[in-house]
Amino acid sequence: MAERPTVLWRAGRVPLALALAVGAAAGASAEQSHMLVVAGLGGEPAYVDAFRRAAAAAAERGRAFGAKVTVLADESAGRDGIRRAIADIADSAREADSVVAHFIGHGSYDGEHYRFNVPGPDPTAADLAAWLEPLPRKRLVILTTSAAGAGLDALLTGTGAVITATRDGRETNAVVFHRFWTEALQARSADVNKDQRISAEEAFQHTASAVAAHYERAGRIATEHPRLEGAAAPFTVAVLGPARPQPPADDPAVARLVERSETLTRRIDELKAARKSLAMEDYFAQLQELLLELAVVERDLKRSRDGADGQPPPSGGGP
Amino acid sequence: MPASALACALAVAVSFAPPAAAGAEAEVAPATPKSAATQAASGEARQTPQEPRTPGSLTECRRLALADRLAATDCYRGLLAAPALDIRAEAAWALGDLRVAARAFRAAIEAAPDDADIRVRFADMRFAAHLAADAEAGYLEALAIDPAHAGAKLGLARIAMSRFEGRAQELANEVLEAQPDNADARLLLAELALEFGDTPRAEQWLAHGLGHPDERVRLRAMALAAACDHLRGIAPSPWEARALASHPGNGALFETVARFYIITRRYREAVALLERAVATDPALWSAHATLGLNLLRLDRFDDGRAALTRAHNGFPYNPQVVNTLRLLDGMAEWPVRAEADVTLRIAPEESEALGPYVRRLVADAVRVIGARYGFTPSGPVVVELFGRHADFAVRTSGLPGIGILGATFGDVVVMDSPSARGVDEGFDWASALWHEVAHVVTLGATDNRVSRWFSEGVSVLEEWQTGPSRFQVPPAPVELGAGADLAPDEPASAGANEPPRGPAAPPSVIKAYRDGRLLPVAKLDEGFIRPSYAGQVGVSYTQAGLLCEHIVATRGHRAVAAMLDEYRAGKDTADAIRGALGVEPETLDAEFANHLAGRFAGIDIAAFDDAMGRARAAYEAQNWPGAAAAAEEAIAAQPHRVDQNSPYPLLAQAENRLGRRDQAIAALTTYWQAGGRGEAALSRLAEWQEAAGRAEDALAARAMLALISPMSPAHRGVLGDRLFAVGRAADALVEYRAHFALGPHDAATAHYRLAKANHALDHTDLARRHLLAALEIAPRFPEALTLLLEMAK
Repeated sequence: MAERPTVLWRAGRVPLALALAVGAAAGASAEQSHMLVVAGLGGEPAYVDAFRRAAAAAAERGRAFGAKVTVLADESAGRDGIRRAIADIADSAREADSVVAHFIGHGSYDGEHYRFNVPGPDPTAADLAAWLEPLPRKRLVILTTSAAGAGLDALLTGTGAVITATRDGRETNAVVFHRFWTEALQARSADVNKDQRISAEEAFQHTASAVAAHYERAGRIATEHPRLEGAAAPFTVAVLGPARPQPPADDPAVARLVERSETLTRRIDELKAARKSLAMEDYFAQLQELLLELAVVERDLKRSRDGADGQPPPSGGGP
Repeated sequence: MPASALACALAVAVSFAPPAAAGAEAEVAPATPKSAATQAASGEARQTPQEPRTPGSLTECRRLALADRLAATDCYRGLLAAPALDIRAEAAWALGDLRVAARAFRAAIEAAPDDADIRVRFADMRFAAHLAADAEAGYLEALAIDPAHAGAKLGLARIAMSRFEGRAQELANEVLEAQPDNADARLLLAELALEFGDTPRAEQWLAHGLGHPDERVRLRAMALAAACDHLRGIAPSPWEARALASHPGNGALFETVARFYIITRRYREAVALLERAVATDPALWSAHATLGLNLLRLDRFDDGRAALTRAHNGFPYNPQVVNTLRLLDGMAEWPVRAEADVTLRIAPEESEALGPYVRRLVADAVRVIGARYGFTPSGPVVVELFGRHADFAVRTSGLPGIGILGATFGDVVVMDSPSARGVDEGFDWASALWHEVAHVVTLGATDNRVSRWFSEGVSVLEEWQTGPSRFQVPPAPVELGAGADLAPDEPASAGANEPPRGPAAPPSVIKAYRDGRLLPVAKLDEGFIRPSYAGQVGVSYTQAGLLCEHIVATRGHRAVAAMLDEYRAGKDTADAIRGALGVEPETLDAEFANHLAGRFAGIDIAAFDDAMGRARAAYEAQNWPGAAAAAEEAIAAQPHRVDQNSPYPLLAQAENRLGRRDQAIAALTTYWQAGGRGEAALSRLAEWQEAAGRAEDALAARAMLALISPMSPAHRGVLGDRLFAVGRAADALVEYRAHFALGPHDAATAHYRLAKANHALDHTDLARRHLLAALEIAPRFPEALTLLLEMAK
C-alpha cells in the first residue's frame, strides 16, 4: 500500500478537520505511523505458531492503514535484532510520528526484573525502555506476554501508553490476550464509535472483555488481567473501511462537507456534555436534528468518495 | 427431578452460633434469646432417641415434657445444678440453651474421657442442631471406645439416613443383631422401609414399638404407624386419635407423617399436616421450618417466608432456614412474569435473555408431553432459574452442595440457569428444562404418586425423543420435532429384529449392565434414593430412560399412560406393571435384558477408547488421514457418542484439514442430530454451512447455539442478524433484546440492531429511541445514519 500520511485522532476529541488540514496543507510534516511487531520465543510448536500468527495479523492490520511495519520472528527476534529494529525506526521517524511497539510471546518475572523471552539473552523491561527512549514520544507499547504487568512501569516512562496482558508479574501462566487482540483488530464490534478505525483503546477494551469472558466460560479462575496505562485512544491499530476522504485542495465543496461534519460532531459532543441540564425531550430533539444533518453530510461525503451513484458532488451539508 | 429424595442434608458448619451470625465463635448464645419455658422439650434439637443411664430425675422431667411443659421446664431447671455434668448438659439441652449444654458435655467428657455414652449424647445434640459432621465425629469417638455401642451406631445410621446413604440399614441391622429388642433400631428400620413405600415391612418393625413400655417409644411408633396408613391412603389414621388422646400437644405426630408425604412429593398433603403440627404444638420449630420450605414448593412465597421467620425466631440454628430466608431476601426484587401457562421467576439481569426461550420451551413441552400422556396442568407451570448453583441448591433443599441441576415440585420447576454452568460443562439447560416439565406432567397425571424411577425414566425418554436436544439421526425411531403434536401411539420400534436406535448410553451404564449391576425394576427406586455404589444415581437415570424406551418400543406410549393411571390409583411399581403392562415385574426385567442386549450389541468401549487415543495422537501430529480413520473406528465401536469424548468434532476437523468440507459438515451434522451440543463444534458447523451457502441449515445451527448458550451476546446478536436478513424481524427482535440485555461491549451496535428491528416492525418510538442512543455513542455510525435518513423520510 502506498505510504500516505496517517491521521490519528481520538474520536470526538481531536478535530478531524484540523488534522486533515494539516495533512493536506503540509504533507511534508504529516504524521507517519511506525509499527514494530516482535514474535518472541514460543518453545512449544503450538505457541510458536500462535505467536507468529498473532504477529502476522497485527502487521497486516498495520500495513492496511499505511503504517511502516517491521516484523521480527524466530532468530531475528533476539535481543540484538530488537535493539537494531528499534534504532532503525528511531533513525527514520520524525518527532510528529507515532510508534506502536508490540511484543508477543512469553515473559517472566524474577521478583525484580521482567524479561521478554527471545532466542538468546532475554531483554528486560528496562532494556526495552532504554532502546525505545530515542523514539518519538507519541508511542505505544503493547506487551502481550505472561508476567507483562511487571514491565509496565518501566515502559511507561516517556511513553504515551502501555498495554500489558497481565496485571503484574505474578500472573505467569501463558496468556490468551494475543488471541483476542487479533480478533479485536478485525471485529466491527471493537469499533465502538463506528469511525471505521479501531484505536488501541478500543482494541484493548474489546480484548480485555473477551479475555474475561474466556475464563468465565471455561469455568476457570482468570490468570491474566490486562492493563492499560496512558492514553491509547490516539493510536490506530486497524481500520475496517476506507479512509475518510482527504479534502482535495481544488474541491472546496468536499472541504466544506468535511468541515461541516467536524462541526456537527463537535456540537454533538457539546450537547452530550450539556445533557443533564436539558429536559430529556429537548435533548433528544436537538440530538436528532444534529444527527439528521450529520447523516446528510456523511451521505454526501460517501457519494463524493464512491462516485458510484453518478450524482454530482454535493454542494454542502448545512448552514 | 423431585428433590425431596435428593435433598442431601449437608449441614454447614455453624457450630452453635445462629447461622446468620457470620464468623461467630463457636457455641455462642442464640441471637434471639427466648424463654426457657418455650424451649423446654420443644421444637428442634430435642430428639432424644437413645437415653443411656437416664437417672430418675431426668426420666421424670422427660415424662413431664410429654404432659405438662411448664412443669417440665421447672424440672429441668432443677437439674441445671445437678452434680453430674452430663445431667446438667441434658437439662440445658432440653431447655434450649445449647451453649451451656455443649460446655457441660465437654466438661463431662473431660472428666470421663472413656465414657462413650456421654460422647454419644453430645453427638445426638449436635446432630439435632444440624451439625452432622461434628456429630459424626462424636459417634466415631464413642465407637473407638466401645465398638459395639448401639447409640453410636444408630447415630451414624441417622446421619446416613439424612444423607440418603445406603449404610443406614446396615448399621441398624448390626445393632439389632446384638440387641434384638433395641426399640430405636426397629423404629429406624421402620422409617427406612417407609421411605421405600414398603408399608408391610414397616409395620413389622413397628409392632414392637407400639407395645413398648416406654411411652416415648410408643408415641414415635404410633406416628410411624399413622404414616403407614397415610401412605396407603387411610387418612386420617386411627393412630392419630390414639396418640392425641394421651398427649394432645403432640404436634410431632403430624410432622412425622408429613415427612413421608414430602418424600413422595405430595407437598399439599404435607403442608396440611405441618399446619396441624404447628397448630397442635406452636413451639415445634422444626415443623415451622419444614412448613416454610414446603410452602415455597407450592409457590406460596409469603406464607413460606412467614413460617420460616417463625422458625428462625424460635430456633436460630437451622442453616436451611437461614439460607432460605437469605435467598428470599435476594429474590425479593426478581420480576415475576405471570402468563396463563407459565409463571417465570428469573433474576432481573437474566430475565430478558432467558424469558422468551423458557416460555417457548415450557409451552412446547407441556403441549407435546401432555398430549402423549393425556395430562395438561390446570394452572401455570412455575419456573425459577438461578444463576448461582448454590442459590438453586438452597431453594431446593435449604443447603448448598447438592449435585442435581433441576428439581420439580408439582407445578413448580426450579433449576440452575445457564449462567450457573455452561453447555461445555455438560449442562444442556434447555434439555434439562424439558426433562423437568416432563416431571410436571408425570407428577400431575398421578397426583404426585408416580414412582421416582418411572418419573425419571419418562423425563429422560422425552429428552431423547422430543426435547430440544433429541436424538434425530435418520432413520430415527420416532421422527418428531419439539413442538410437534404427539398422541399416544403404537409401538415405535422399527421392527422386531431391529434394535431400537437412540442416543448412545454412557460407558458407565454399559459397564453396569455388563457387570450385572443394573437393578431390577421393582427396586430401581433404590438406585436413586440410596445408591450403593459411586455413580449409581447417574446409571439409574439412564436405566430408567432405557426401560421406558423399551416399554414404548414394545407397547407404545399408551402403556406409559396406563402406568401413570396405575400409579394415580395408588399402586406400587410391581402392581402398576402388572396392571398396565400385563406382565410380572420379573418378566419385564427379562424383556429389558433382551432390549439392552440388542441396544448395546457390538459396542466395544475398549476399542472406542483405543481408537480415540489414536485419533487424538494423529491429530496432534497433524496426520489428518490417520486422525480421520481412527475417529471413524471410534464411531464404529460406539456410534452416536456425543459427550465430551465424542469423535465427531475431531473427525470433522480432520476432514476439513483434508479439504473435504462436505464430509466435515456431515460429521458435525450427525453429531448435532445425535444430541451433541458442544459450543465450539456447533459454531464451526454454522460457519461452514454459511460458507457453503447452506443458509437455512446454518440458521438452524445458529438458533441452536443461541439456545444452548443464551447468555452469549455474540450468539444472540448474530442469530438476530441472520433472522433479520431473512425477514423475520419479530424473531430477530427477541434476539436483539437479549443481546442488549446482556450488556455487550459494543453498545452502539446493540442499540442499532434494536432500532432496525423495531423500525421494521413499525415500532417507531422505540426505533427512534434506540437509533438516537446508538448515534449518541457513535455519531458517525454509517448504518445508523442511513437508517436515520430512512426513518426521516
